[in-house]
Amino acid sequence: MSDLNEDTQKAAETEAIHNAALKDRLVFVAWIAVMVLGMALLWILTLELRQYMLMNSVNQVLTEAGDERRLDAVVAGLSPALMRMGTWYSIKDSSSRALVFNVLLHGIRRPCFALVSGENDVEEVFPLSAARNEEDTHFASLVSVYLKPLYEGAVP
Amino acid sequence: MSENYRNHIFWGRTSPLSSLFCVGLLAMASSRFAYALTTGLCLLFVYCAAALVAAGARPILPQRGRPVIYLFLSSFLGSLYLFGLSLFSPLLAQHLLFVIILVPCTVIASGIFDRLRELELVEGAALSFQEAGIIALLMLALSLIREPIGFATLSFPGGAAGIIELFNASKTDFFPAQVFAASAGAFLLIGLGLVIYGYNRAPLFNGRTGE
Repeated sequence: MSDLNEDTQKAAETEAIHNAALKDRLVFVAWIAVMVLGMALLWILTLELRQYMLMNSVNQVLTEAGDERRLDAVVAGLSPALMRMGTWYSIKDSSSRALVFNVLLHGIRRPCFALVSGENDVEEVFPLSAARNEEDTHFASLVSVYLKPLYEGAVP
Repeated sequence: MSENYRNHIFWGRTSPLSSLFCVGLLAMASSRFAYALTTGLCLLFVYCAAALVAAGARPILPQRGRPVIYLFLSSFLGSLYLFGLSLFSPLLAQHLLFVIILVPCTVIASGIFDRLRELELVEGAALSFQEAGIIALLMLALSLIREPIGFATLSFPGGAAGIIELFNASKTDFFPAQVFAASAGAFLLIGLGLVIYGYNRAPLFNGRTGE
């Protein structure tokens, strides 16, 4: 009779340990899931807002540089190869489009502006940075690497 | 070696300059004063917020896998800072994406969460603030050497482009001191700083405490 009681007690203890371990795992998964999902939703749901804020900043940079061109709206529905290059914007009163993209120089990303015609020809490229002296002789060659698909006409 | 010496926030074995966990971040973020200032704020935010959450949520943290939770927590907070920056200054956020990604790695590599285990909420926050403050100050000091020598300018965060330059004295294409603005220059300066730190570590600490 006492053996039976001991077995029952051991089984109950084992089950309690298993339950505690399971609860611990569930808490672990919940922490990770809340953080990953929370941040993913925040970034995905605010994509349009962030693109709009970027457009405003680029327009301010153009204004400060005395450039009369203005970005108008985000261009969607381009081919995946083009969309991967950066954010595309239409330009007010122009058939050309603007590409805002980044090049990596000295380990830091440098936002750049490229003016691209309707036929995907690159018409003009310049850095969106107050620090023009940083964009040294490497800049032109770097940009040509990043915009290679456009220069080679490899995108539709 | 006394316990006090080992655990000292600046001279101890786990301090930023002794364990060198922050060298990558120091080299990358100190190329410009604007970057160092923004990254320093990120570091303070991630360190302190992570310490507060880790200490405050201790009862509801799982017993196993806490280091993974801390890694995700630091990344979550770093991402939150980057999100705020991308709304406030989108172009600066684009500049600093890779640097801010390094911040959670630095927080984890510092081993701060192990040291927080025995501390209360306020003590933990204070320790985190001090450690992040030291790294931020090192970053700012390094950038104050690198940017004027390397780029002949001094920048602050702000403006549409994300950076405002107070002056720009570089007018020539040939500018040999520009090596200090590159990663190689950063490592040269960090190496020099470490030699001075290591040489003066024991005498300065003993002199300060009277040991």
